[in-house]
Amino acid sequence: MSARARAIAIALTLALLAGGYLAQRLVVESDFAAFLPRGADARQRWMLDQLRDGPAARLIIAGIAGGTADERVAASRALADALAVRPEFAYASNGSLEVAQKDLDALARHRYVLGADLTASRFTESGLRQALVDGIGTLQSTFAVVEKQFLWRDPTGETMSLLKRLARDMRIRREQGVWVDASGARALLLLQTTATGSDLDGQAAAIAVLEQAFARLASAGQTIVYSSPGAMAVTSRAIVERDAMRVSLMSATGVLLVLLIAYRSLPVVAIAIVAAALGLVAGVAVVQAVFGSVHAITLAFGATLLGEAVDYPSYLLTSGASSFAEGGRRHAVARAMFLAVATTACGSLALLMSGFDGLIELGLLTAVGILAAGAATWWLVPSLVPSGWTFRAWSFGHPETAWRLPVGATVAAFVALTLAAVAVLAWRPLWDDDPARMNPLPASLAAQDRQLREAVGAPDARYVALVRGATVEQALERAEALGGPLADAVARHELGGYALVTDDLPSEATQRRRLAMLPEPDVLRARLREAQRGLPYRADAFAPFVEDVRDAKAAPLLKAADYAGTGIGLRVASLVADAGGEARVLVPLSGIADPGALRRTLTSGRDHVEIVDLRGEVGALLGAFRERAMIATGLGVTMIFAILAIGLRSPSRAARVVAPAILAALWTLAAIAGTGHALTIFHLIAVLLVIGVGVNYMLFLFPAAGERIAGTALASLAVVSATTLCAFGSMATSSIPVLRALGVTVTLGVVATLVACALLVGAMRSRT
Amino acid sequence: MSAARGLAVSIALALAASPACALDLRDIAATLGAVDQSRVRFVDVRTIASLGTPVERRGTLAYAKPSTLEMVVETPLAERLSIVGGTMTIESRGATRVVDLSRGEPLFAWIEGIRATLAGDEAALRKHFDPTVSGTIDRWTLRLAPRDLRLRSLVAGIAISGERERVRVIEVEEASGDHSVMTLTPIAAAGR
Repeated sequence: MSARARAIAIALTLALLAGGYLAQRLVVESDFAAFLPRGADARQRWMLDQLRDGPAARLIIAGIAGGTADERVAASRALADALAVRPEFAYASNGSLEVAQKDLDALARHRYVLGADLTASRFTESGLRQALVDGIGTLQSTFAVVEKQFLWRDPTGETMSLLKRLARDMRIRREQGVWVDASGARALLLLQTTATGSDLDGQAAAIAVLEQAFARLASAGQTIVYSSPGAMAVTSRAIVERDAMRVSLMSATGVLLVLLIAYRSLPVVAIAIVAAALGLVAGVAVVQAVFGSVHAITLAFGATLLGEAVDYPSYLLTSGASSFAEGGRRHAVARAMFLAVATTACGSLALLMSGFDGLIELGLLTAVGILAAGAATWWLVPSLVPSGWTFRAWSFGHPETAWRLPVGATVAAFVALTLAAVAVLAWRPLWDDDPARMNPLPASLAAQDRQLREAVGAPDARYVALVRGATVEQALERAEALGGPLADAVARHELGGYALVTDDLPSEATQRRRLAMLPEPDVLRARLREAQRGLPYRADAFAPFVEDVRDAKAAPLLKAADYAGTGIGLRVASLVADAGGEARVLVPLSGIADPGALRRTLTSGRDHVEIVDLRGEVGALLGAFRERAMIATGLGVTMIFAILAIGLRSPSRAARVVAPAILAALWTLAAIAGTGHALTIFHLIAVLLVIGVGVNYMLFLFPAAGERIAGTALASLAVVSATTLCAFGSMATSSIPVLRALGVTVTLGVVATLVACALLVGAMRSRT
Repeated sequence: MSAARGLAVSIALALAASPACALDLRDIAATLGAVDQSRVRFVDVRTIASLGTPVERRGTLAYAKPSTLEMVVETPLAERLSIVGGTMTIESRGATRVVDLSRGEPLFAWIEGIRATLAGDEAALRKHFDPTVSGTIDRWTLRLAPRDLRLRSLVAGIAISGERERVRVIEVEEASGDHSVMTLTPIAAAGR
């Protein structure tokens, strides 16, 4: 078997194995969440899960606009009715009392364990007497028909005081019995999906049901807007899918065109692509094996990486070392090839160490893909190139004679560019750790979400008091104990407001304490008899009251599950969590004047209470990841330098290769920051890729001691930089911030590296 | 002959009855809508199952076109209730409440039903109720069935009867079985 046949056989076998594995196993994931940071510890992970998968993530706020007020009310009613019976929705309310009836019933049923102001004195003979005298007034009033409905079961008025609290909590404006926004121009609905927030197929199905129902029920000219974490995730998934496809196609087409122009031979172009593609298939297969799925963003990035992986066949092809017949030349390129592949693989270190699942995927794909593409190039390409084909270099000339600059000018240019970059980076505020900027969603959607949230009085909860306990009961008791300090903080204007879930779900201890205030049926009956004396009630008028009190004392205590299907249930479920061995109660806080002071007030002497700044928390996570990315970048540069120092057998030569690459990366960051763009962790991670690319270019300009610069080095650089620019340039047009940041950074990085190369070439003097 | 006579009587009766059969809400609304203002005394007898004796309320009711209604209860509990435009003010037991009726809170719809009847405001009536009409314009009865479920859980129906532009009796049948009958008598000749 000839060397050529063997190479082809091995390559084909490997390609078939990897391809077969992928064909059978490949799962493409496009949930954007993979590109959001994972929490550093269990608590942070729980907080993030809560944001992503908690009951709040299942809430959809919808607004109907257009048409007349009556038409909006009609559409609101029809939509709420249509959705309430759908299995995709656990709850659908337009604020009408028909739906709220379930909430009213739940409150009325559990009034004796819920009453915050319940006192035993209300159930004494004199307390009851007062209630019954008031009851006569109620029966005489014009609105008796409304007010007397609770009288016989609840003469002491517990239900009414709970309803007043409910009305106070639910501040959404009503018109004609349905919720509207402040201007009255939109009818509002609150919906809860049965699917969890991270079940994007379930979320998409619920949204489809909502859209279809609205299309069927709406009158002409009406429009619906809706927002929910789930809906936003579905939208970003659609954007990711669409964008990943577009970027891949654009990049592949560009790379193909560049190669066709450079080589003017279909077989040679095919060989270059095959070598690079083999590497990528191997990379995707490894990602699939390690992660169990491959993200659409990873695939798009992979398609872009093709533009970089194709550099290795290009180095080989353009250096005239592509055939075994020219073994000597191939040997000459060997070292540069090996070093280029090894250093680029090091470039993925920052991705691998990022702490984001999605970025780790990208890193793994890059490392495996580049190594495999390098190997495929080395062993496969020379045996495949048609004999007799040579790269006809354009007239860039030999690097040593191409163009000349005074050495002083080159040094001055480097110093000037670097000083300018340092000045820009020192002057501009550097990092932006706002997680909102990572999402591919257009800003208009975020604004719409904010609007709808404000309309229903559910502003994005930023500050939350987290109360921990070993059991739910303990956490609830501790939350109740926090009620006093919270009320004091409000009275002192340190705090605007708070939502204490124990109003709706008191601890069992509190429930028992309240039930203990209620007299036994016989006692109550006797007291009522006395209290009724002289009043015109029939003897058995309050029999339902005695029954209810007896039932309340005998009934099991109130649990969160008792609120199933009610609006209160939504709130309770979102604020109480039993997370494996630790129960947590969330107390949303609003209107905080001084977070530090409030934190001291609420947490001093209470180890189990924590004040969490949700947005700050995610921002801090990103900050921590950024620091980690810095370390990874430093480590990557060190490794690249070590590999070069050993490979080139000269630290000073290695420094001459690495230094321009690092400076070019610095110019790149300055160019991004200087044009008014905030730097994110993604730009930083891309810096190591830029350094890897720069090192590759320098390697071909500064070979090891005793090796000559290839006469075609400039043409090589032209081809490889053109493919890389095509690929990462396509990525820079992405609407996914992660891809855009990586694309912009690498594109600008290649340009900066080319500037550095041009300056160095100009200063190059013939060594002959 | 007697058969023919019988037939003639039947036809005559049918002809006489037909205007009554054709009586619809629009006729009553038009008649009532022509009234600029009115002032009456009322006696409201409320029968409540769990109360040994009915509650008897007395006071005055004043209406002025197009949408002002004032109800002053003198006994047994002094109350004042006024609707001006879309706003209802209730003064009762030392407290004053203001309710925006345009928000369509169904619990207040029954009072709106009475105002709308007095004003001959057909659209407002149909918003909250399914109205049916019987009798003649000289002696009509307007039955209002609440459309809203929540209101229906409290008020089974309202029957308003009158003679031409004069409303005589307002009966409220509650879902609980309790009911009230409010009889209106003019104080002075209703201004036209």
